[in-house]
Amino acid sequence: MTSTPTMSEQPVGASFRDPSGFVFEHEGQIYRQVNSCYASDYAALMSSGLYEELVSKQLLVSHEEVEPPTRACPEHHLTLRPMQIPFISYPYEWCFGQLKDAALLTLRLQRLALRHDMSLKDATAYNIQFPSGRPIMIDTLSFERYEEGRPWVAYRQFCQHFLAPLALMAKRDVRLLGLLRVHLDGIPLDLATGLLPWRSFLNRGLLLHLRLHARYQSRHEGEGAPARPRPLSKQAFTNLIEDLRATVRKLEWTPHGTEWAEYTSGDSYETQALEHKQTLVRGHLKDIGPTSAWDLGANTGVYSRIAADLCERVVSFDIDPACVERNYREVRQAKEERILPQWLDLVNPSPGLGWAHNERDSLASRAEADVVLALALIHHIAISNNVPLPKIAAFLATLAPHLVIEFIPKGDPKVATLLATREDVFPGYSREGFEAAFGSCFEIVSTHAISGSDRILYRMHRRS
Amino acid sequence: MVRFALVALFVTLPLAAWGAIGSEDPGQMRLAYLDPGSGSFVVQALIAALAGIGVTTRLYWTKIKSMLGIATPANDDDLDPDDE
Repeated sequence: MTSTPTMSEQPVGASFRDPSGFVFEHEGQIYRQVNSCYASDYAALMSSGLYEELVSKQLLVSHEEVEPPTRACPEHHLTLRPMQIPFISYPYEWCFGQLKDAALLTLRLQRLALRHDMSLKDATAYNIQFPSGRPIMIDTLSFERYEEGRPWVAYRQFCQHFLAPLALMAKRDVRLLGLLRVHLDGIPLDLATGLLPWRSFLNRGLLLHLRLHARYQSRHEGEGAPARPRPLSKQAFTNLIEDLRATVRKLEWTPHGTEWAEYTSGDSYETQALEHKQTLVRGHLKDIGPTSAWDLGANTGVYSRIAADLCERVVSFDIDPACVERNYREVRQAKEERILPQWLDLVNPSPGLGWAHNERDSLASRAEADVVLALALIHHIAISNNVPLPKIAAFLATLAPHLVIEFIPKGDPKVATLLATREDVFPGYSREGFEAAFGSCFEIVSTHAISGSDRILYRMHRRS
Repeated sequence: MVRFALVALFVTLPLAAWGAIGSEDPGQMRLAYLDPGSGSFVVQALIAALAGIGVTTRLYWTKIKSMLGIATPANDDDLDPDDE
């Protein structure tokens, strides 16, 4: 039943499970082929009013119907060119707030779909993206005609992709989001219920949708098509969705107490140094004139916001979940559209995952920025993580043509803290060593000492 | 949790009645590409019924509160409005 694309199309790595169609790339543009088996569902989506409602509320990407750019295969019904999304992010790179908003969007889509006699046939977190700050659904072919009585085929997937990780982050440890890297179809419910503290099941929603659900899953494991499942009326279906919504809304995580969340309030900078650095960064970005920027070690996004004034989009990375969460809350509150906060451990960035390492792309392969900001960052990588400066330079050179980077010498209080409990095995960590290491991959365009500190800000351009 | 238990007492009788009539086969089932999980399919009607108690409870308490003049905080979430 799955269609086989012709050799002239390159389907994206993750697009092979749904027989309704597939996503492919052609000359740098993303297209979606609609197969003939989905024709009547597509017609219902477009004529029922659901598509108009979702697009007008900015809940679903808009698309246009186009001529197929290559020779189409026999299954072909239509070709769509959806709104393009320059940077794709994955759920294991999000913060708690982003995953929660993605969950609530999925439930809202289902709620609105039911009003038009349609329903979601999957509920995967990979169908949601954040191109303009807020979540939006990208899989137009997820909607199918609703048949009264039929249980929700995506219920298991919703609970595994959204409810289980959110509950684990809220009730056990925020770092458990990392389980989504291992379990690409969401966290198995028996694993989630095993990890959650017993107190979390005083919450009725978690008791039903996770614990009871897990019990029935293990009881019916290995069976084929369910024998005579009870029909689910439309009202019961609506109640199920409403209850999931209430359960998700009640899950909260407050960002505090992690290492860098308090960074800006106990800052070692004097105000003069901070202002000078901001002026320098602004000046460099104005000269470079980027379309997009990556801010590595962004903390809560101070410099990302400077960059966002000067370019179209910024991805704002940090290793501390509390910082990413605070950054995202500011994006939500101020309704910012150019900043995407992301969780990233630069020393262990997202690898290629899934079938043939090809379904979910590595971070480096998604690099599309014109400039990378690496401010107050290098000492963490070089000293705390023992990565030699030449290796750091080589990796940063793969990410973007321009680099604005801050070197913090050993005399600085922050570096002294890092060296306080360990032997100084970093003879190469000096201004000379830094300039030599980076000079082989980059041309140093300018150098400025940051007033009131020993730190130096560089602007560099990758050598061709 | 206590509210849930109280309302459950008043709802189990009608539920039992529903159980007697709700066992028809939904007929020809379309197979989705996604594995829904047999257990997830089977348990949904039960969970939906129990969830319905929660929905009713919340409605019930909102009405009581409005009769007593206690304001219910409005849903001011711009990303998840009620879509009336």
